[in-house]
Amino acid sequence: MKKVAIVGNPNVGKSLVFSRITGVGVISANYPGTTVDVRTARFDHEGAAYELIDGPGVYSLEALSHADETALAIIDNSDIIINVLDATNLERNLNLTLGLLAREKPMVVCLNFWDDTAHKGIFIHASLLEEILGVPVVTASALRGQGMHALVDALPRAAAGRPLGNPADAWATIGGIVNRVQRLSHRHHTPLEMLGDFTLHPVGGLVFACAVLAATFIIVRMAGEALVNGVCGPLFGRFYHPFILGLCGHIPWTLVRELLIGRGADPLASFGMLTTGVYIAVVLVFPYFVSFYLLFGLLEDIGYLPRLAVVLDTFFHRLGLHGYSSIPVMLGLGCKVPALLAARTLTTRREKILTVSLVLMSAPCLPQSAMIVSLGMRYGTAVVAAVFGILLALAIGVNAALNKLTKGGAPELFLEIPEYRPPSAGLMAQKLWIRIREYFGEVLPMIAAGVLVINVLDALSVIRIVSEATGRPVSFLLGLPAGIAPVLILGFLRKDVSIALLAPFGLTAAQFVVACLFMVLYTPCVASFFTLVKELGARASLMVMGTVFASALAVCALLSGIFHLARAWGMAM
Amino acid sequence: MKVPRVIRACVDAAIRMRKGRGGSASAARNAAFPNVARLCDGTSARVVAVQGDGKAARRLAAMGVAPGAVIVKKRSEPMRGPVILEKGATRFAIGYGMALKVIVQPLDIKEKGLLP
Repeated sequence: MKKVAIVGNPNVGKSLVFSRITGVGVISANYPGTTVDVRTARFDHEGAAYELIDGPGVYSLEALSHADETALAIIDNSDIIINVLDATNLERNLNLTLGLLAREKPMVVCLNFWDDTAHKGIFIHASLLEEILGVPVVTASALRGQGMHALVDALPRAAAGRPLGNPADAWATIGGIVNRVQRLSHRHHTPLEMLGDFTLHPVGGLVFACAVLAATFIIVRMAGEALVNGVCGPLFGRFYHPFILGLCGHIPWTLVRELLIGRGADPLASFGMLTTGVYIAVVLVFPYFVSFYLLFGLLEDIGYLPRLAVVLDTFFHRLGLHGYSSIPVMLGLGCKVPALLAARTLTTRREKILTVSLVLMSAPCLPQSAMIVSLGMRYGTAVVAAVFGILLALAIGVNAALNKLTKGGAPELFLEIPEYRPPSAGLMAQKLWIRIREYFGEVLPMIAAGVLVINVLDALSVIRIVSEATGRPVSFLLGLPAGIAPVLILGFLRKDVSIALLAPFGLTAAQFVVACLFMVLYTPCVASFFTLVKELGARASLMVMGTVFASALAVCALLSGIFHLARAWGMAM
Repeated sequence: MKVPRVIRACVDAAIRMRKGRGGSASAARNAAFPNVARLCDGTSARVVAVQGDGKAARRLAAMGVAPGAVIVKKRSEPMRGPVILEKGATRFAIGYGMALKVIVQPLDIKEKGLLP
């Protein structure tokens, strides 16, 4: 079986080519660095079996980051190279092509975004390019699914490359090739390009960034609520809940029955795997999940995230980072796992650690946010805003302090700004589907496990023992009811469930804020914990987690003290 | 956006007075040619030198920003924010500190002029 590596500059559509050829859905987006990991899939063509390998993009054959090393390892371990180029940007892309040709491996060149060349006034003589490079050249548009058959057909014809020109003077060689094969004609600015100019404008860009972020929150909130009240809530309340209660209500063994459907009819308080577990996952979290990722997918595919990174660069410099770190932070609003993975494209260890701490602290992940909003709205908007505001302020404060305390300066931003592209509805739907599948694949078993563990521990009176042991420090330091301790500890398994578990305690608004802050911060969830250890190693992970835990404890104790004093002075809290 | 010349000069002087990001020393060494951060928005220029030989220089070289290359300075973000450059069809942002290391010769100095 021949190993075929897809290699190219960042953001030229490698993952889309991979997805189109193998039919394996992958998450793609319009910013450099979407793919940080290696994906492989098998496919057969004309009786021959191939293994297709997709990895991060590189600008040159030098390893400047962890993601670069991954990409270079893929090239070394492959039998055939598919070099994907952005046809609208031939000159820059050819630099890598020349480097690859010098490796003298069988290679095929794929000129992607071919459909864009026509309306950009670019004409490329593909067959002349093929003659010059000495390897097959195929034109394609992975976004529209064109040219993929021709690309696969060209694989058996893949010819070994040979070095072109003097490697010390690669850009002169490239200039010569481009002059021979490419003609440009004049064209006008398209509306998308004008938007591109505006969103990078020093003032317009900042205004636009604020508007985008505000609109994201408002739309996610409204669409999520509409889905909860209009679709998921009624479906659960009218059909699923009575059905499951009727089905499991006749189970004679109390232990099994209570594990499955819990006690009582309130879907949030009964604590059965099939009642509360499903209610949290499907009714309280899923609607926000869908609306968030629909909107976020749109921002990703249009190509807004790199612009946001540029606009936020000055601010991130104060935290010892550069603007690219805003991309992991934005991803972290949805889920911490892909956010931690995205930090891989950063070059220095210091900025990785700082970014990871910012990702973990700046905001809860979406399931937690949804639960905080669902429960917190009982206390009013101010309480919800307080939770998010304190988190953000704390994250910025801690990061600024870490930046001052650790050696090293802020690295410089280096980020290609892709053009805005009109998104493809089919691709957006595919991406949303992948995320929904991953959500249910991970969330349902974990929530069920969380509810199960809580019930089993309760039955074994472990919860009572833990409450007695940790109740005193919890109530003293955090001002929370003693019984809440096991809930906080179990948050490690599934934090959204733990926040739901706060509901029966009848907390005051102040206690709710403290409990939520502590729950969000004190440790990462199981999934992000393992990702963190994989990305940073055990020592640095423990350091980051220790810092986050210490600041969580300090801030929660401080807040609880302030609330206590305020109450002592007779202020209503 | 047109900012009065006096204000620009003041802002620039204030920036130069502050330490950090190693601006003044390299600027003095290459007094004959400005760095790309000092160019007016929309000016095209020929790269004379890229100082330093660290990761920054290698990354720039991979994008084709090497001595002899013609680039267009699109924009400087405010408060020593990133500088946006165009090389061929590629547009990219580099940090202010990196921009200080890219020494250029402006090509249309008569029309646009330097800063300040």
